[in-house]
Amino acid sequence: MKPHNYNVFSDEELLALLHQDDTLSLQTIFSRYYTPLTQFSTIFTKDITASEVLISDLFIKLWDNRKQLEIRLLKPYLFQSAKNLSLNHLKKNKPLLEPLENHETLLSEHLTPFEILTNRESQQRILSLINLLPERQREVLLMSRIEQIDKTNIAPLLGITVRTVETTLYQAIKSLRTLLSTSGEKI
Amino acid sequence: MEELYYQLITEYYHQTITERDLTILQEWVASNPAHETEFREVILILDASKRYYQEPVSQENSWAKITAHINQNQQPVRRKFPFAKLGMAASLLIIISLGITHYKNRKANPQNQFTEIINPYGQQSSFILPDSSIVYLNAGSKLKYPKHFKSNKRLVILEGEAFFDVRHQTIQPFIIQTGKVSTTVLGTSFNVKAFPKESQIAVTVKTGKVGVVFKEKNHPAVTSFLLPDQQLRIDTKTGKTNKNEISAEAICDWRNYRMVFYNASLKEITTTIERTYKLDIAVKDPALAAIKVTTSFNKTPVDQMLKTLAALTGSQYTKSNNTIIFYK
Repeated sequence: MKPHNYNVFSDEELLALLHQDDTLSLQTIFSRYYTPLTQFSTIFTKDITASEVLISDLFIKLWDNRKQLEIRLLKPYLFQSAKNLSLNHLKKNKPLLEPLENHETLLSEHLTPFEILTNRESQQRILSLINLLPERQREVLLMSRIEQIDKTNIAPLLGITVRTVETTLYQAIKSLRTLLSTSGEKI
Repeated sequence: MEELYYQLITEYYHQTITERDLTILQEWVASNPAHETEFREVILILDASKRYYQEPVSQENSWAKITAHINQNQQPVRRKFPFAKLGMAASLLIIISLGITHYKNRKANPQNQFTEIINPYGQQSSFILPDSSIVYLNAGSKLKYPKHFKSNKRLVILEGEAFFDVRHQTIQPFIIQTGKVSTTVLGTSFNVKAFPKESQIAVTVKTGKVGVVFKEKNHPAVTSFLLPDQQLRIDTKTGKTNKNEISAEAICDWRNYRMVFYNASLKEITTTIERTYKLDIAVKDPALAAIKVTTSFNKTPVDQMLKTLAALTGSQYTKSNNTIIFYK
């Protein structure tokens, strides 16, 4: 296992190496995409533990089928597979309702004391309202928060046009603003 | 608010906004206090929705699971030992000559199959044990473990170097046998370095508490307890032990091709590099081989490491294919 800097390879170069049984290329793809894929999966499963297992299985399948699969572009393949696995998982298991307490601890881990004082309630409220959005708006909003994918990636994942992604995102933000103002709290 | 401004605010948030659009946005925000409120709200929404995501916590374990799966399918490296056959592999001989009674008394039992993982020079691997503990096995090393652990203990046999992340199980201690030295833990992470060719065994603790027992025939057992960032070194020839404080992080990082040498001889360093990268390095002059240096490498290319070593020891080297010779 000679350590080259595989991180400089593009996705497609890594795919080519993978085809030649190179485990280090699998590891590089894994490091590159494990976190965004896991987080993407939680949009559907709402359960990070389950998603981590699903994504591990995804990589195992990718390795097992490395010779048979004809993948042209790696990123869309990975996210599409993640979505399929997540939806299959949902068919077998009921999705967990996210307790609000989870968001509280999440916020206190990431924010400085100043931010906590001023934004905490607003952020917590926004997070709870996201789950009230129409499903398509919720999905687009959350997917757009993942750095590694943009609207051109989101469109095929949801089977819509890029333009529709843009308008749906606009609608999601508008809906949240409305929900925020009708819920009474000034932010 | 028009969709246009949502788009501009989003681009502003992602820092992808053009100069021209930024001016438009600024003018719009400044033109009306309501716009400023809307601007602030959208930013807050974009920010808050990012916090929907949690950080995954099991990346290392997930990767270990994947590696275990890959290794399962690579036949040449992995062999199975039906214990009943008493195949005279070197590791079995070591067990018998030490007179560990529970192996002597064990009846032939087809249930008790052993798995042995052998890493040649140049190859590292990681895998999961029957109790879900994770092992990272270094190059030039072997690990043997039963397919099912006994109910009162989890025993594995190591030759070489491995990093263990042991799952906590109170009634079932985890024991690593390396020649005459056994290391016992309940649930911790630590590194064991025990190459038969070297006359020293080193146990370094990363997390938890570890007990190391050194037992020689006709001598009472010597036990030392180690806490995180402590290391115990045992000289297998003299039986002398030495406990010291050390950075466990650095010692355990060979998995990432990071090597740290504190006052190590050139011979020791070249032996480690040979094993990790599958090379052949000769240092003919004994005086040169004994020169001690302190240095560290982090994913350093081999040529760079050789140059550094030559500079530190005031020597030169020749390299052809995978054969390297150091000389004064």
